[in-house]
Amino acid sequence: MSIVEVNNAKKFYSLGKTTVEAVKGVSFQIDQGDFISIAGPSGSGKSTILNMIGLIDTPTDGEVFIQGTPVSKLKDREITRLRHETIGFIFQSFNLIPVLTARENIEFPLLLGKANKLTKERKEYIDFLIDEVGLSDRQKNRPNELSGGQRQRVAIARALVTKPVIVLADEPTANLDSATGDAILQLMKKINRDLKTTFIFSTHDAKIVELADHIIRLKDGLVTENYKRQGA
Amino acid sequence: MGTIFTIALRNLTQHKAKTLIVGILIVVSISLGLVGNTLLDSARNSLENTFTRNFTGDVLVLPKDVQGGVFGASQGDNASSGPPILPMMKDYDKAAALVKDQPEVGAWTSQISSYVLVNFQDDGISFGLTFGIEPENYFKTFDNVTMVEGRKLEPGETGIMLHERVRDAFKKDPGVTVKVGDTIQLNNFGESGFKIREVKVVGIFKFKAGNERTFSFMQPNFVDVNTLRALKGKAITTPEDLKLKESVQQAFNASSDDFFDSPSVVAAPQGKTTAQSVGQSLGPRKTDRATTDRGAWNYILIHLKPGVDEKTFTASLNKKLEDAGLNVKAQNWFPSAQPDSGVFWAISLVFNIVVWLIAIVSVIIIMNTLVASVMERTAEIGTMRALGAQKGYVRSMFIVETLTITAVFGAAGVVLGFLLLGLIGITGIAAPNDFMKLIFGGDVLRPVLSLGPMLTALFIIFFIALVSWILPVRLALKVSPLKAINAD
Repeated sequence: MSIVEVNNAKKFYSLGKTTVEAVKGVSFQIDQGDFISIAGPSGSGKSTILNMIGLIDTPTDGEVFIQGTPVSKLKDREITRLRHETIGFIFQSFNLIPVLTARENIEFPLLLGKANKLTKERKEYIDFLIDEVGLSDRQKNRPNELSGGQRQRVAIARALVTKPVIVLADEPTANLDSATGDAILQLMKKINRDLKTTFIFSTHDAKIVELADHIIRLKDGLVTENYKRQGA
Repeated sequence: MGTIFTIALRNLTQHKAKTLIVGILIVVSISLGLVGNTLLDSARNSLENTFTRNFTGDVLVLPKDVQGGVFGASQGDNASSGPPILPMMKDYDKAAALVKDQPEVGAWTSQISSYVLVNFQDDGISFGLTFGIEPENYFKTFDNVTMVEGRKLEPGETGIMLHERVRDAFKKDPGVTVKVGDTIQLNNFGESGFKIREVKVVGIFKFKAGNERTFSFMQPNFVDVNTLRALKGKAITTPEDLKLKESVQQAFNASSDDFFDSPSVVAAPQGKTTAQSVGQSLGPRKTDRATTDRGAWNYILIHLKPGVDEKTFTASLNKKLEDAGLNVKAQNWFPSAQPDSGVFWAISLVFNIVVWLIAIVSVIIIMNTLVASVMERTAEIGTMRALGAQKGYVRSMFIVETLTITAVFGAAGVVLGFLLLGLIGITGIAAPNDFMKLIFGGDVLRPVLSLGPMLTALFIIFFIALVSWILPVRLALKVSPLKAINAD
């Protein structure tokens, strides 16, 4: 069963009297455990599609299904809950909360929603993630005391802390140097392998595309290519 | 919830400049409100104490259609049309009997008030407020004067006690000095025309509480009630009064020839025409106690026993007066002390408007600062929403921030207010002039903290806290998770 299904999704924006057709009707499915790259040039609609899958934007027409649930009819509260329970985000600009330490940033999603207590099990999992992303000695530092790579590692740990089935990463290496970017990608690939977490990237970074086992290429708001690598 | 507090507190400490600007505004609003309201409250209490102890009593009973009190009043639609001509209480005897029967009444007396022209030897003239009293009963109810010279009026005596400032006002006329034992003339133009009475000055006094009203003519003098009644046309005519003077009688008895045979029937007045000489043709200058209407009073002034609630008593007395069908009403000191209390009320009003304006300006500045803070933090808010924070979480975060800043700086404002009040309490504020003496209700104002100003300060804190977060939170709730993506 596919974990994400995008069915003839369209997204139009009004810019004054002009209507911009960002996504003109795309359909695809994503399976659990995929390491998928949505690639394409700037303006191709890849970020818009990622936002729709991440439930932070809604299609003008068409439907997005998350684990079989059509999201267009959900209320804001239900969408927020589904997003919290199902999806993790890794942003291009890291988007850490500046007044919280690295560890507090990682803990933050666990403190939202109904089950918002830091149990022993959860604390151990946070320790595991901090270890996994290599930030054991920086966990008490605030974001402005961390390098770009370290911030992105915090963001990865934060995206994984709720054990989401999907992690969305919008240009995750765009603000990192090449070596750090490679290390981050390897880390995400390892987590994908070990935890069977689905990673969906929006990128035009060739290295990510190379590493992905499912590639969707976009151009001018339409899918031009959608294939899985052999053995994926 | 813990993380909400953490984020709120760290945001406040991180943005120190903004927090301080907002905080200082809150401190100023609260401390100014607390100090100002306490001073006004203390002045009001002092004023109330002065007036109830010296002039109005706790409760004043007066004709129903009269507005005002012991310092001047108007009747019906005649408000402010010239010097007040106060009506006597029509149902005085019944009202007095009812007052006497009330167990809450500690002491009571009656009084007439009138502005009269005070004339001394045709050379000195002054306009003054005069209280007509029965001295024994009055000074038993109001132990309010200190004699500077002479003595108080004796029961049944005809005479006047002049306020020292009225006496001093005469000194401004060259060579005029009024002393105890001198006779002065009181002139009044009232309902029954122009009246003149001569009275002896028995004493010069000042008020114990030091409440000096603004101008000398506002200082009350005490005259025996019958003299004032006579001046107000409340003399009862007796057959003796109707006897014509011998010369006038002769004129009536004369034949027509007499008018032409003698140089004059009645000798023309010799020398200059004076107020005194004119006064001779206007009626008797001495007051006979037996010839005045002994039931003619303007007011009944009541002192309540300690612990009696004035509001409850006034309401209850009004009900009883109403039930008895009497055309009189009971009121507390405030309307009874008009226009003095009105001046104080106006000043209080202006001060409160200023305090609330400062509070409103503070709210606007705080709101703007918080709005700017929301705008700066849209990416952060968007990220929180993207990570699964419901709108309620964002709302709580900003409310906690606003409440924290308001509570912390509001408390600081209260503490600063206490300190300032403590300092003012030690030194006291000396009234620089008579006007301020009126406002302070005495020579020196010492603030006494009471519940009212504390509650006002708390109300201002709640007002600021409640109103200032509305707009910023509304804006914060509109922040979409998409803002997280667009952060760069």
